[in-house]
Order: sequence, then C-alpha cells, then structure tokens
Amino acid sequence: MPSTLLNSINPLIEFRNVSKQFGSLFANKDMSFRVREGAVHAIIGENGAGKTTAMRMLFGFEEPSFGDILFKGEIKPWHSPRGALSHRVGMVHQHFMLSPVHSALDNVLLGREFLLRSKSKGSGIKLFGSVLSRIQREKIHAELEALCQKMGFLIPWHESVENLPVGIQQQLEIIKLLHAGVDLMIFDEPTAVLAPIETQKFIQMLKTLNQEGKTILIITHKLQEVKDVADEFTVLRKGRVVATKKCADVSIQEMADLMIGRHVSLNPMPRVACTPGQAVVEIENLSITRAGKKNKLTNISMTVARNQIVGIAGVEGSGQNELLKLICMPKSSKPPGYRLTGKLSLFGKPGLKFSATKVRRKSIGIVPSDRLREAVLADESILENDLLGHDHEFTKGLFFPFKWIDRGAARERITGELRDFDVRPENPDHILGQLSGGNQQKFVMARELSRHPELIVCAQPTRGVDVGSIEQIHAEILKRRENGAGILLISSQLEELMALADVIHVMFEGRMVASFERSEFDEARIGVAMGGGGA
Amino acid sequence: MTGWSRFVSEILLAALALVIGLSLGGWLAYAAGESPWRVIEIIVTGAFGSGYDRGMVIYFAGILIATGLAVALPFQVGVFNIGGEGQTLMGALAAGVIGAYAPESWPHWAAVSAAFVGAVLTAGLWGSIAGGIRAFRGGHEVIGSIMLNFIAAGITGWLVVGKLQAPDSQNPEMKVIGEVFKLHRFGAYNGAPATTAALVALIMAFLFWLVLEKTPAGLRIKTVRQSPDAAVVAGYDPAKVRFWAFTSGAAMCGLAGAVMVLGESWRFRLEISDGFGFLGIPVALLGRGRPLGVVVSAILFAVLHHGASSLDIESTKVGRDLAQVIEAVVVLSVISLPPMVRGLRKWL
Repeated sequence: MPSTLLNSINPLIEFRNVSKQFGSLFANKDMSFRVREGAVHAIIGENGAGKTTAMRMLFGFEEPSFGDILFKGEIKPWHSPRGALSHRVGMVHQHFMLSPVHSALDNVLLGREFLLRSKSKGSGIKLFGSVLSRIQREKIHAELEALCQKMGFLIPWHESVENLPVGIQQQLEIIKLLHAGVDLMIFDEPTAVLAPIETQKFIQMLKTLNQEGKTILIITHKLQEVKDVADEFTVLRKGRVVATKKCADVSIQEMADLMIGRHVSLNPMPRVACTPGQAVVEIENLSITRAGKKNKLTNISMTVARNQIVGIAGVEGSGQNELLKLICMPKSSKPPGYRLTGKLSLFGKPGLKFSATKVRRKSIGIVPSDRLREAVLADESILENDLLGHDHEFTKGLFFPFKWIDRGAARERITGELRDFDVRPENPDHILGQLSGGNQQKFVMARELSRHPELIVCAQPTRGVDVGSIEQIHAEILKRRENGAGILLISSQLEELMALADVIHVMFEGRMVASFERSEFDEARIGVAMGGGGA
Repeated sequence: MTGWSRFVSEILLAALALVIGLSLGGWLAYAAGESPWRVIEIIVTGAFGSGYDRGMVIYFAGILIATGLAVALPFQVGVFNIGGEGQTLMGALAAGVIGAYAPESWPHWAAVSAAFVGAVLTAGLWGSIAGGIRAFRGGHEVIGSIMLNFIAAGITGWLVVGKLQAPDSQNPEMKVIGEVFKLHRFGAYNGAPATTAALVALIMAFLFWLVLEKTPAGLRIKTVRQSPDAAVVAGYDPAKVRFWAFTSGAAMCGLAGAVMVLGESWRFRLEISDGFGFLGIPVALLGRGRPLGVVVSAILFAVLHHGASSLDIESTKVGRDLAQVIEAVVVLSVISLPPMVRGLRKWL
C-alpha cells in the first residue's frame, strides 16, 4: 500500500476487503481503509456511493457479505447496535432514532433501563429487583444536565421530542451517546438538517469532542465541512474506496474530482429574463394548526406565476413537505385532528377542496422529494411507471369494467419522451429499479414535464443525481420557465435555488420567515434566515 | 425477462409445496399402515372414477375458484379477507330468499340472473363492512371479517329456525327454490351438480386478470400494493382502492353462495357453506394470489376434497382427514418456503 496512512500504527477501525451484496447489486465492493484512533475521519462520496451501508455494517445493523471489519486489531466482536454500544461505539443516524411521543429524558432512558441500573448499583442484576426497582431519573437527569453544560447544549428535558426543533433533537442524540460513554461516534450526514449557522456550531462541537479524545467518523458530501473539521478522509465511489488521504494535502477541487471521478466545473446556467405572467398558485394566510401541537404551517402567503421559478429554501423538515402536499393534494393535506385555515387558489379556482385525483387531472407536473417511495414503482417497467398518475390520458372505453389502458399508445409516446430527456436505456420494458439514480430522476422529470404542464411542483430534483444529470435537469427546469410554466422549486441545496429561482422564500418551522428577489440573493442572509434568524 | 422468471419461480414454488404436502401425507398414510400409492390411487379414482365424481369435482372447483378469488383480489392490495365464510353465507341466504319467494312466472334466465345479482350484491355489501372499517378507519380487516363470520352465522341461523324456516320441515332450512331458479345440471355427470356456474367462475377469473392487467383499476391496485405513497402522489386514493378490492372480493363469495343454493341443495339451509369460504384462503395462497394460479389450485383442491372422501370407504386405516393434512402442509410450505430460500441464500 503506497499511502503511509493505510499503514498507521494503531487503527481503531479497519475495513479489510469488505463487500456488501443486496441481491445482485453490490452496495460496497472490496473496501479497505483504516481509521486512526483519535482522528476525525470523513467518509465522502455522492449519494448512493455506499457510505451509509458501510457505516451500518460497522455499527452492527448489517453484516458484511465478504471481508472483515476490525476493531482494535480484531474482528469486531458485535453483531448488533446494542453490541456496538457496549464496545463504546455509537452512531447518530441521518433520520434520528428518537421516539416522538416520549420526553427528551425518557428517550435517553429508553432501552437502557437495565444498563443504567446495573451501573448505578455496581452489583450484579437481580431479575425481579431490577424489574421492580425505580430508575433513578433524578440522578440521570443531573448527569445529563452536567453533560449539556459541558457541551453548551440547552435541552428541555421534559418536552416531548416531537415538539423539539431538529437541531435540538440532534443534540439529544449526541448527549445520548456521550452519556452511554462512547469513544467512537459515527455521524451520518449530520448537517443535512442544519442551517448554515447551526452547521458552524456543529463543526465547533465536533472539534471539542475530538479534543476530548473521541474518534469521529462523519459521512458527508459537503466538502467544505470535511476541510474544516476532518483530519483524514476516505472517498467512496460506486461502493469502492477511491482514496484515503490527509485533508491538509488536498484542495476542495481535488476532493470533488475524486468524488465524481472526473473534473467537475459548476458554471451557472444562462438565464433569460422573463416577466412573470398569470398566477397559477395563490396561497393566502394559510395555517394548519392543532391546539397543543406545533403548527404544521403558519400564515403562509405566496404566489407562483407563469414564467416564474419560486424557490423554497429551508432546513429539511421546516414545512416544505406540508406545502407540497397542500398544493398537490389539498383535500388530504390536513392530518386528522388539525385545522386548516386560509385560502388556496389553483389555476385561478378555489382549490382547498380539490382531491389529489382532481389536481392530477389539471395541467400539473409533480416531482416529489423521495423518488423511490413517492414517484415510481421500482419493480415495474419504465412503461408502467410512465402511466403512473397519467393513465387517464390513455384510458379508452366507457366505464368500469369496460375501460382499458391503451398501452400501445403509451408505448408509442414514451420513446420520444425518453429520448428528449436522455433517459438511458431507452427501452420502455426495462425495470425501473435497475436504472441509475440519475436516470430514474431524469425519467421522473420526463414523465412530469413532457406533458408541458402549466404548473410544476418540484422537490429536491437533483438529490442523489450525478453531476452530469444535474446540469441537464437544471437546463430543463429553466426551459420550462421560458416556455411559460409556473414552477415551485423546493430544495435543501441553497446553490441550486440561487442558480435557478426568481424569488426565494425561506421557511423555518412552518413559517415563511423571509423572501428574497433575485437581485437581493445573498448566501449569508438567506443562510441566517434558514436558521430562523429573520431577514 | 424478469416477468417470466418471476412466473416460473412462482410455479416452481407451488409445485414444490405440493410435493412436500403429498410426501408428508404419504408418509402419514404409511405410518398408519396404508400404502401411500394406494392412497393416491383411491383419491384419483375417487375424483375421476365415474361421471358423477367428475361432476362433483367440477362443482367444487367452481365454488373454490369463487372463494379463492375472494381472497386473492384483496391480497393484491395487501389486505387479507378471512371473512369468506360469512360472505358466502350471506350470498347463499340472498339467493335462497330470492329463489324461494320471487314469482315463478319469471323466465329462467331472468330468475337465475336476479338470484345471482342479489347474492353477489349482498355478499359484497357484507364484505364492505369489514373493508370499509379497514380502508377508511384503519381497523384491522382480519378481526373485522372474522367477527362478521360469526355474525353472519348468527343471523342466518336465527332466520332459518324462525321466520324463514320452511313450514313443512323440521330441519333448519328454507323453502325449496322455484323450478325456474334451479340451474340446469349437465347430463353427462349422472346428477352431479355440475352446472354452467363453473363456467361463470372461470369467466370471473379471466375478468379478474383483465382488470389487473388492462384497466386503470388494475394500475391503481398495482400501485397501492407496491407503494401507497406513490399512489397518493399519482392521485390514486389508497383507501378507496383497498375498499373496492375488498368489496369486490367479498362479492365473489356471493357467487359461490348462489351456486350452492341454485346448483346443489336447491334451498338455503344451515351450514350450507361447510367451510368452503375458509378453503378459499389456501386456494388463494397456493395460487399466489394470481387469477390463473387460483383456477389451477382450486381444481387441485377440488380433486383432493372430493377424491379423499372415498378414503373413508375404501381404506380402513386413513380417512378423508388426510386430505386436510395435505392441504394444510401445502399452504404452510407456500408461506414458509420463500423466506427459507432467502435465508438459505444469505447463509450460503
């Protein structure tokens, strides 16, 4: 091995030719790298590169199909997250593993009742004594407070987790691990849910933890963070290790090139000036509320006009999904028990009573954020997927059951569609789940945009998509704007919004806290607003 | 292609399950002192030996196709209709009432259609209670439909010993249906209740396939099964789809009930359904929830069911219960083989 890093003296963790196979697909293939004890080690790579799977194997959620993971020089002795914890290895997942209805304090206690008790008494566990004895909540509460003070966290311990902002939830996850006494902390995309300011604080906190001797493994695809905090990084591409290097030796541009596998340059797209036309979506003072619960949406007012791209910025979970639901399925956008007040007009008509089916019959294209769950059926062919939400265009016949889908007509139409959007392979009988992430997304864009809708609702259009496809998708969105579509663009990537949008509204905890015209775009100010700072 | 390999593996799975069931049944017979080969011989002769036997197999197969479809259709959207017995009873009750009290002056085709439509609607309506609770209120369909089985048994039992009991009968049964309501039995089967109803059941299975593969409803069903979230975004209402799949499945049981009354017993009587509603569950499971699979496995179960009744007479060592053991093992194999194969692959 050429790199000195790979031969470092005491690796805490070593992946030795590790592969993970799901069916016929390899999520990871022949991965080898080492993590030095006491280091901050970043795992970088595009979406789908196999970062999360690698960490899940380390944490004991999955077992490697081939190869070994070594812990302190021996094959890791645990096969479950619980086992990992008992060896002082902890993980903060991208989607937090918290019980929403329990208080913050109870979330720390959950699943550790016995461990906590045996620790506090110091003697062996007696079965009934253990079950029946009271957990020493007060003592643990005090311990947690002490930890919080040290870290500079403020956690309302008796509040239910569902009422806590994401940032606090993340702090809770970290405190949980610290209280369990872990030495190795794994973070999966920790900053995806954080506003820029919170991210800075988070980076600072990582440094503090590291100074206290914790080893930190952080999965991310944000390269600036890697540069800021990590000592070393490992690049994954298509499940394989491309390189493990010291951060000090490598520039961000070089990291990006390693990650993508070729030289990348992100030039801004050329934009034509357009005057916004007629409004397609108008929302006035809209709130979704329930007494005793956090509001889903509070006083939202906004307009999407033709020839206009309206961007919605915000940390994930700030109400963007609720907004999307409100427009695409007004009638079912209100969870049971909640009240919906305000006005919504779609295509110039009062739209609050529209069902999802009715909206679909209008001239609308919907690109939801979670592609595999909400936009496609992975086990079906491209042709079947093309019918999804658009089957009425090919339906012949009078009434059920004398109604059928003219798949011949659908097949004739789809070929042009696939070619226009450069979806590969162009074969309509290909199973959709076997396409790459970029091609799947291009297919969804093709399905929704090739009908020339007047309104396009588009969430995270480039998530998990390779750089080449990102350019194509952005160009397509801009083209639709010039051709007269009104576009609502929800994205957690500020750069994407700044490149495409005419107006950016910033959402925070279900409110619109700031709006910026294109001439006022300023990364720092938008970033502050995303953290709830106001404009 | 992938579709083909899936098809082949489903067939292999069903065949393997059948082999396991037969081997275990054979072993049991052997343990009881009877030759397995002789058991098979008895079952086969019992099912195909005479015209009458073949007619009975046709009759049972028609009923089992209907009650099998009643389970298979809701299966397509991931709900489990375990209430076939109650739905069959309600369907049979409706057919029996129409047959007994509607005017005899109706032409044959109109009378039979009226009885069938009445049975199908009643069974559908009965199933829609459990389906509605599941789809719109989230109550579990297994609990709902199994409770409704008891209620249906209670209602029909109460009626046939009370208001609707035939005046000339000591038994819990209704009046004999009018002559115009009786289904014509094919002559070749020596009086066995083989009627056009079996053909109707086949047509229903074909229709089920058509709906799944060709219609917008089929696309909705497919989408809801695979991803309810995608269905919502595509503008399909998963609750409605689930409700209608469950209800139309239940309606199929009405068909079975009507055939029992119009084709076989010519009157509604207590326990007319005799477990055929429940037998639809293994039929659908072995048929992997597919229309063609349901037809094939219904025929197979009909052969086993009728053929095994000869065991009581022909063998002193084993009885017709052996068929139930075989059926049960086949179903357990169908359910447990896929995860076992998956586990084996993982382990290798």
